[in-house]
Amino acid sequence: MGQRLRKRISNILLRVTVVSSICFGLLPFYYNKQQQRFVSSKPLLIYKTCINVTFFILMTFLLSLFIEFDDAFGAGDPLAELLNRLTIYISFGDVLITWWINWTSRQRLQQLFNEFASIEIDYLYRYKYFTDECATFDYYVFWKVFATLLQNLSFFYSTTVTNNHGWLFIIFMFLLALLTNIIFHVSTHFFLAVLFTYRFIWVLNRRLASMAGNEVSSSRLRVLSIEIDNIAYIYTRLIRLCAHYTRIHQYQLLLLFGSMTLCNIEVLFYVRLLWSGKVNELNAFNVFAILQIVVVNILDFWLTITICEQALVTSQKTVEILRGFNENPKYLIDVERSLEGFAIICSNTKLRFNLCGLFDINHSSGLNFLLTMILYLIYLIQYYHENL
Amino acid sequence: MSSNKVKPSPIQRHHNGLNQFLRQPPTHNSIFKDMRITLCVLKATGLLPIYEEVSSYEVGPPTKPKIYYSFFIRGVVQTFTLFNLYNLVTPGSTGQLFYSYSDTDNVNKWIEYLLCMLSHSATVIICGRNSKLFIKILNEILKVDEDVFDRFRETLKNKCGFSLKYIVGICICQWYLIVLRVLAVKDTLNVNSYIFLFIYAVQNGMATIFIVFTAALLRILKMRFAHINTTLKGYTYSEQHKLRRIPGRDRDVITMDSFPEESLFIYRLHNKLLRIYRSINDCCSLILVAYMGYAFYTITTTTYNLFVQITTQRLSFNVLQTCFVWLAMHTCVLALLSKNCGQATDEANGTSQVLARVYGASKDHQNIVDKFLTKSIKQEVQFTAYGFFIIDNSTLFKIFSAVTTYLVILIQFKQLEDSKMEDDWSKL
Repeated sequence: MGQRLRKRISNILLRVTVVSSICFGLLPFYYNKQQQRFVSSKPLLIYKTCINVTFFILMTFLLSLFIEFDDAFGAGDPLAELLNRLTIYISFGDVLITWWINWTSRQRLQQLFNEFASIEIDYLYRYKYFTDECATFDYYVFWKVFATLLQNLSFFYSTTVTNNHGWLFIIFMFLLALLTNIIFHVSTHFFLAVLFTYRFIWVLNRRLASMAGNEVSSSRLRVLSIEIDNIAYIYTRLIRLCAHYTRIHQYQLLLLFGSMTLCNIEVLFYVRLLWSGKVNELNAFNVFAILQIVVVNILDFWLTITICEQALVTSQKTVEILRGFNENPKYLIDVERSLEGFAIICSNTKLRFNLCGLFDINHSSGLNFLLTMILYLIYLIQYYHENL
Repeated sequence: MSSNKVKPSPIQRHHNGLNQFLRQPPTHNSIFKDMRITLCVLKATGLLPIYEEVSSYEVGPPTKPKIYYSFFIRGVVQTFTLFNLYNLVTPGSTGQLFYSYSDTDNVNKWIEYLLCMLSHSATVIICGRNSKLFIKILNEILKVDEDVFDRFRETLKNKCGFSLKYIVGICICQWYLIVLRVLAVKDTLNVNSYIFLFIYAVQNGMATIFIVFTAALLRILKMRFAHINTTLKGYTYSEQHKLRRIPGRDRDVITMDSFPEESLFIYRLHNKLLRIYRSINDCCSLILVAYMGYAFYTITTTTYNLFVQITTQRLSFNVLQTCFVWLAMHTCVLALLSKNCGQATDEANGTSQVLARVYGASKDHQNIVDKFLTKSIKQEVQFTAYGFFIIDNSTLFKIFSAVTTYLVILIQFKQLEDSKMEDDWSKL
């Protein structure tokens, strides 16, 4: 894909995400082009309050509706039904907590957005060509939007597949899908924040690498020290920023991962039930209808995991590039000192995405999640072995 | 250890540098000497590109016909994989191969075949995609060798002789397994089953041989890192102290005067080696994940089979042999991989420790040491399988503890199945 087209599409998608977040009442501020920062506005705040109250009423309505359904998904089994209920309740809890945190931390969220904007203005506008070259960024934006769309589609698809519950159930599912989108949006915010961090570090790395690789003329040597100091400053700001937004999003993400894992275990368990010969008229269509939920869930989950891993790997590369400076002996004492300072900063403050002090988000914990799903699936099957 | 040769002192080197050059012409690059057959096997199976040897320290990209050959071989192999997959999902065509007692066992065997295919296909596809990267890695290693030769006038050893032994071992194991499998089936097998078994063995063999190759690459890196470390050791405080106490050997003493120049060379070398280390990791990590998943599964099911064999009264020597061959092969290869990864990582991380001991040797050069050390604080390199887990000596332990856990679960499963069967019988 051409670079400009790619850039343009990803920009549009980013803008759409921000606008739809505002529509969902998640962001009560907008980007002011003159001031080059995000400013909060009264009307948006009022809109946010209104929509939140509407959603809240909707949710209580839905909950009361849901309690009246017995065995809403046709599980035909007490434990499976319990799991179903648990998943739904956790999703509701997730939505509630998301709202609460979103409301209480709206100013922090605004600061966060402004910090990103100001880093962009402070340093990165000079390296626009580097920013444009970062293809991974755009592809990840595409992937995330695609995954969110798929989540919605899969939700509606599963609603249409489960028949025989009448219009009340369908309305319930559709409204639930609407509410679930709030969680998806918040997870997208986190994803985008990590993605931006990744791109910033990527650009810093590119800049550092070009400095390490080139023979620098003596007149530039003095400037080099200042530039390295500057990069180190940006780097520390990014690390702090990262800790900041992880703290804002930690509870939502934790609940999101939890409900996703639960949902996957439950759905996989259905597959086992189907295979066990309980349902005779099993065909490829049925299997697809169930497996698509798992696939879409895992795709979405894995995108979050993998972008964090990408950011971590990129930040580890910074030190590697710094080592490359060792190969050149002819730096001034200032440059050496700046390099040392930066190296020490890198080794002391590392990028990490820690959720509530429970675990870091990276590939290894992602694998743990997947393994946990398989393990609990096995436990469930054992528990049910008599009935199969 | 690689270079327990006595390193010539700088002065010596200065004196008889030319002589040595005449006496010891650049030996044929040793990377090909030890691993010639391993590389040949991989080239013939299309996993590695068939590169040209431009000079003794450089390899060039493959020519067009050779690229086509690799393509062709990979295509053929993948077609056979598809054939196997087709056989696996169509019941009846290879049904004779599933002869186990219970449902769970058959499902296990089925998944094992599937995982083997997955691992092999991953190897073929990733190798095909990364063929340029492999040539780059080989070239970079050769470049390091050349640099070392230019400077120290010595050719580094690889000690990759193990790779050949492993390949022979793997081939023998695969043939033995085919024979055992054929013997195990009571009635005559159809042609499909024979082809299936053969392809399965080939897939297994190729996936495993590639892991051996990765281990060999890591061994090569380990030797280079070790060389750096021994060179640096000559400058440490204790060595300097020792040399100073022996009178009358002034000529041979490695003086600290050469340290600034030498350190620069070594930093550069270390950086290059780290870069190679990382690119090997990037190239192979997904293959490693696929293989390790497969090996883990196979080891678990095999141990389970072994358990069932031992607990039931009808002991079959055929099955016992099969189990032991599987276990031995996978355990050995995993052990080889984890050992080499661990060693390479240890040597790479050991450099900063050795350098720290140079710190005390002389006050004048502390800033040079500092330059390296500040960039290595808390920055240890790790060989990871796609970031999922770190591969080093502890990996084997972790795998076996996981195997035990899953074994217990499988045994419980079996008990449940048995009790259910008894219930069904009693109802009848």
